[in-house]
Amino acid sequence: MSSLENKNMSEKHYWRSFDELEGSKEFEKFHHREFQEGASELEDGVTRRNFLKLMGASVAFATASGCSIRKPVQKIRPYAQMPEHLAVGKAVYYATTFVNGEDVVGVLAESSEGRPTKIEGNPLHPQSLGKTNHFQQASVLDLYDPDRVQNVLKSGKPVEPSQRDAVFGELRAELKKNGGSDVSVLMETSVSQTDHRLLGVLQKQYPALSVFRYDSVNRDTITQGLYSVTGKYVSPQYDFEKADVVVAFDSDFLGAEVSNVRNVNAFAKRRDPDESSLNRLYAFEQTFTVTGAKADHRFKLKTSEVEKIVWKVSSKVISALGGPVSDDMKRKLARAAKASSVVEDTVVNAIAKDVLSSKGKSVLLAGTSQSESVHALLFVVNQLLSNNGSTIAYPELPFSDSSIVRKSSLDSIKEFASRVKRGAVKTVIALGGNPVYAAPADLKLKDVLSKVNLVHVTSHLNVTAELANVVIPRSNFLETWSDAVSLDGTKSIVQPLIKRLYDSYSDSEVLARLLGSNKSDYTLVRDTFRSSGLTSGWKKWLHAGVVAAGTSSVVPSLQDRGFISSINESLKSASKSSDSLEVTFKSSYALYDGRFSNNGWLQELPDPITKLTWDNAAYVSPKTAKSLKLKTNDMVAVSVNGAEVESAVYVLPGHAENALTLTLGYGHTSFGRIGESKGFDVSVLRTSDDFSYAQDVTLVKRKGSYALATTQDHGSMEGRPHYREADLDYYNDHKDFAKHMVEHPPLKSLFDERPYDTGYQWGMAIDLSKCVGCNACLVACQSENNIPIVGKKEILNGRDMHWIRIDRYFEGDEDNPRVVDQPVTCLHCENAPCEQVCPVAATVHSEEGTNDMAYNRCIGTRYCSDNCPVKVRRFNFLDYHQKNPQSVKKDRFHLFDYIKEPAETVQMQFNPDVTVRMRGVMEKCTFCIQRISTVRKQAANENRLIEDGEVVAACQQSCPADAIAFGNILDENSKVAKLKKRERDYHILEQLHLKPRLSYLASVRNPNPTLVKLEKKKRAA
Amino acid sequence: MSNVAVNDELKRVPLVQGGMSFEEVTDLVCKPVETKAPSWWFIALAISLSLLLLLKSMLAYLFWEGVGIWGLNNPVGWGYAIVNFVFWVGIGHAGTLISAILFLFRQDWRTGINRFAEAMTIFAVMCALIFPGVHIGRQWVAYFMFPLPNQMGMWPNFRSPLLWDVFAVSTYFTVSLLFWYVGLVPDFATIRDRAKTKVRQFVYGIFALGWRGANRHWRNYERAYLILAALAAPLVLSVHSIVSFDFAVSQLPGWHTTIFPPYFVAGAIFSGFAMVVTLMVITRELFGMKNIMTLHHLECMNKIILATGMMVGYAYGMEFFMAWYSGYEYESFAFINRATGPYAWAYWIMISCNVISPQLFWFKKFRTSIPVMFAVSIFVNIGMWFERFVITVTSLHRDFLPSSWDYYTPTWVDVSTFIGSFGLFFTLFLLFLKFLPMVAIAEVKMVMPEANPHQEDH
Repeated sequence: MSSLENKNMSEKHYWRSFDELEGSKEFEKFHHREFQEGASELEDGVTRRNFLKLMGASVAFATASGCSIRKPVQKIRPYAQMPEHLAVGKAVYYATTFVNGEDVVGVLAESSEGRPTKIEGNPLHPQSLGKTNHFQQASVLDLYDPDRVQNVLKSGKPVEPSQRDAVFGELRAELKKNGGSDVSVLMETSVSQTDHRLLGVLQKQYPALSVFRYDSVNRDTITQGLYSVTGKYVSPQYDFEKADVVVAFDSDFLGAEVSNVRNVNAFAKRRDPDESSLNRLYAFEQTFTVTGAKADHRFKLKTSEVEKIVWKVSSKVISALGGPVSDDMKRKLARAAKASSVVEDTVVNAIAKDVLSSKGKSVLLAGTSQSESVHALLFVVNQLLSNNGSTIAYPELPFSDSSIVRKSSLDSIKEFASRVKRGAVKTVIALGGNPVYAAPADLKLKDVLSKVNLVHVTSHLNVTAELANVVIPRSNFLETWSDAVSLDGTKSIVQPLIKRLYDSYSDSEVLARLLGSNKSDYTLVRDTFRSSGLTSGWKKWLHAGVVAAGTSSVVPSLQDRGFISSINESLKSASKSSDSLEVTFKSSYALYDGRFSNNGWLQELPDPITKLTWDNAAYVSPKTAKSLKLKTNDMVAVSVNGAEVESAVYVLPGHAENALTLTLGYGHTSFGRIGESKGFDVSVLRTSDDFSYAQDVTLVKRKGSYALATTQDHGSMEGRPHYREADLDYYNDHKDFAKHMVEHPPLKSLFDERPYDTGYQWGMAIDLSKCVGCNACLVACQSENNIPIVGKKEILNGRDMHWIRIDRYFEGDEDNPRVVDQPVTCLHCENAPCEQVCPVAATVHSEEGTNDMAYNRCIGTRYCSDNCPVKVRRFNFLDYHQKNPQSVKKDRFHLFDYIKEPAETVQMQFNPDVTVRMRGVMEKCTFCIQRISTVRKQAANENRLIEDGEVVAACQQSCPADAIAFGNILDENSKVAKLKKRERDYHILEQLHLKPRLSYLASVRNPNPTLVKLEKKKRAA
Repeated sequence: MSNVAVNDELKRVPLVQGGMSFEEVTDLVCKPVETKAPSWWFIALAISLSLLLLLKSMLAYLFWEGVGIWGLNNPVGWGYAIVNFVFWVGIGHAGTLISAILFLFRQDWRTGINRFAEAMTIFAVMCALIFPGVHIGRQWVAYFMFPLPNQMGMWPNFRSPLLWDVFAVSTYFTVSLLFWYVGLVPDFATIRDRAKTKVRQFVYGIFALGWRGANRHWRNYERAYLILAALAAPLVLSVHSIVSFDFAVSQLPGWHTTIFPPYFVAGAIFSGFAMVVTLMVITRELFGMKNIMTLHHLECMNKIILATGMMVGYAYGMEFFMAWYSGYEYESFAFINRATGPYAWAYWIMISCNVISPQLFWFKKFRTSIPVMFAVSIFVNIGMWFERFVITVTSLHRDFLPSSWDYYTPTWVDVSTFIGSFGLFFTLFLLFLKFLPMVAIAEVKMVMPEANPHQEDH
């Protein structure tokens, strides 16, 4: 032992062995040497013989490794400075906020070793309550999109980092001329306080600067309609949990509309017949939506005719309750109601009766395609029914003191166009959006903007960016500091998860640069908080993600700000009802207004109703199609107002007659490798006068056909009892009806059946009564489990890879069917047919009852898939990660190494806990075994059992309807075990004796008994 | 073999016609081996080799790119590859049946055609063996299917019919090959003894295993031949039964039926005999073997085609009966869908080729007409391919959940691979015709009148 060490051990002497204590020589020798003899040096020095031996061996090994077909080891470097709270291999969650238009949803982003890999809902945020929709789930892929703009571009050329400030300098110089009157800012609706603060400063500094707002998908009719009847800028917030009766007039509040996560969550709470009294939903709509599919009664109407049914119902309610409407108005309403015969009076009476008998417990709402007068009228009706204040609250619209927010998008963009056309503007700064693509066609923004110095802040090189002189990359929300206020007034923080990947700017930074400030978005947000008096609590807010929940109990009083005259006007124009063909423009369920076009997960997201992927189409009803001699995949030319668009046709059962629906957001000529030339750009037909729908449309069949790729070809259930449902009345008398829908002889297995009666036994239950078929689970699963997209061609080949799919069946009459949705994933059968036939035992059962895949063992015979009765197994036919158009050539390590791999950034999204499967391997739902394993380890470390609710599958986590329960079925107190004991619990294909771990709770609907009787009578006649 | 029933000879047509002597038979059979091949042979070989090249390139493309280049999709996990496999294995039934089972039943007429049929069997099984190996997703780990000792301590799954298949087909191939080779030994020696070049003498000499025609040799030879025939006979029945288990043991409606083993065996014999007829009609013409491969042979084979065709037809009918009788809606649907669904065209091709066309053989006139039997044998081959297509694809494409229903369309690669497999078959067959005695010389001589030392007796 050295003397130095002895000195340091002056006070206490710790000894390691008796030898040391005794100070034996042998120990000293042992202690001195780090390794055993012969391990750390060559014996007898370096002899020639030894040298040659070692050299020979190294050369041999080097040669061997050189020719090896195995990939060389890649380097994993340790952290030089370990970040706080980071344990490698353990994910960390941060609260942030996802903003899409006016939809603000608090989320928790999972960070795996510093990379955001998955988005989940933030339970503390009232717009999420821990749940998400498909947009939030898919948003993480947008961050890593390799097609994002990565540099500031000037005339299409990247700007040197040193020159970037000069670009903003030039803009500032433009602003300084004539007090800013040469410059216009065109932005999307912003929900950020920081953005609005900076805009205010900007406008103060340059009073002549003009700011405009445009969203191609917006809620302006609602805002303006409510203003006309209340004199306030408010947004309606519905509490569907309190509503016994919901009447949706062309409103897709469960699907495409704002706050759908919260709406579905509250609505589904009233769809469980065992725990609550069922609500009843009536829907009037043109094309099938998620809401229409869930409705107890759905009526198909042309969009223009929905207004008439609103009059009918309103007229009944107003005449029953009196109220603040003049007699003249009442008469007019009654007359208009009588004049229209879109829905029979008996039906209207039944609905009105239903609504009147649930005063204060109903909701009547209309969609954004409906006119301002409809929204105003429904406000009056809800007021009469005392729904306002009870099921509907009207908080003030965020930032409604700003003139930009008060003016409607359409008015704003029209004014913008005329101003630029006049030549009053020299420089236009388009902050986000894609105005050239999305603006009303009659404004001809492409021509208008090509004459000015256009600066576009964008994440992708879209058509607007093509026209732009300067393109500024826009940051993704996962690399941005910001804040957001949701429609219910909840304030939350947008927190970055990762340092920005490219030289991009957040909106607030761009605005700050215009003001000559080089502050980072973090400082800007902190400044905003400070300026609004929010000083203490930053860390708490940051942790929770929510600053303050909205106070939402404002009920504005009725005030005529023009609603009487607008209703009068509508009533007048109604007399000239037209029988012409009508077209309605709808936002895409997957791509919204087109902003998600380059997101592969969303492009491949099957539409909830049509199951269409990668394309949009013109939806027509079977009758209309027949009369026009059209069938699915035919090409048609749709023309209205002198413009023409070619599109493929999709014949949709249940679509209104004499009408067609076109989906916005597709057909980009420029966007990125995923989003370009997919579908048809229909915005050409959309003018500022016919913004929501247009009449007098002509449809001409064109030669040739188009291949539309759907994930489900067959819509009928063929009378097979896979989806089981009953009306409430029947259910009350026959609670176990679902169990008696299939009769079979006694079942016996060929092999010894394992009891599976110890330990954890994982199981899942899906409540079909609650499920609305929204697809959130599908994207959540894709994001969690590294599931590749396959592309349109492979969808056409029937090779989609989604581990969980939503089966959609039409039921009833082709002209007016109902739609049911059934999520199907691996059933994890205890007697799994797949396991028995695999020749290499690559799919086997675990002790915990899950059916597992050993990917490394799988040779890909596909026999398991052939023998799977529900066909949930997914085969990777062509190494789809490699076939992705964004994939890049891999570094070549050996002769045959010509393969591709996902782009470096895309690889960063991969969940490190889940194997990335290669080609030729079967894969399928694992019940998120990686999540089970994480929790099991945690519980084992803490020497306890896993508690119910600790293991949450990705699909279950995202489900806004809470329709999926997962857990240990042996634990009698677990949610899933309780659900499986419900009488409406059933197994599909029980005659096969699969003993599946996934069971379904049969759906129970609550139709209006009066209407059921009417229908029966009609059928009998 | 030498105790051929003499009294039969008086009633029956001689098996070798044209009053040929032993020497003439030897000369005739050895002629193609010893003389320069005719020009048609070179043309045919060139065509076959190009098709073989097509097969090879399709397989190379497959290995490089993955099974996604085929038309398979999610419900239809098995397509052309499995159809071709069963088709070729089926064809490979005729040879061993003719040599082993007919041998055990002392059907002497088999001697004229057994070599030929056995060769066809071996080559057909070789074609068949390609498909299960390459149809899997990761061909480079196909060896996982064999029970090899490995560091994972893993056995294959002995419950899987695919594994049974591996054993059944490889056993069948091995035994068939041995049986064929053993039968060839005396003839190799004949060619060696007649050889006029050193090379020929040397090469055939190696394969002749030192055969000198000694009494002991003949004794051992006949014993070995009998044992192998006894071994091969049950294999004829077992191999296609086990192939049918691939389907029957699964639970897919349309696959899961107990009728499959006998039905598959009958179908295999049916298709195998049809293929023998197709090839023999051409070969006997081109090589002037009409006296050895006589019309009588062909007629006998046509009778078997008629019989097995009826069995197959019976099975088709019985399947429908069971589908109805079971009262199981999924089963009934599977069969109604076969006859009336999107693949009805394939079903009706199968019915007309397999059930209707062999009915011509009720008439002797057609049974002995070369053009008719040639046409019918081609139809049967087409029909039997479609039978496998119908079973595999139509059952898969619409199964339990209507949501997963889809339609399967083969790609150009599927079709080229199938055509290419004929390249392999015909290449091997043409080489066989040129380099090996296509008739079992020794065996044919045994059934000639001259072979009976007591022919003057009764």
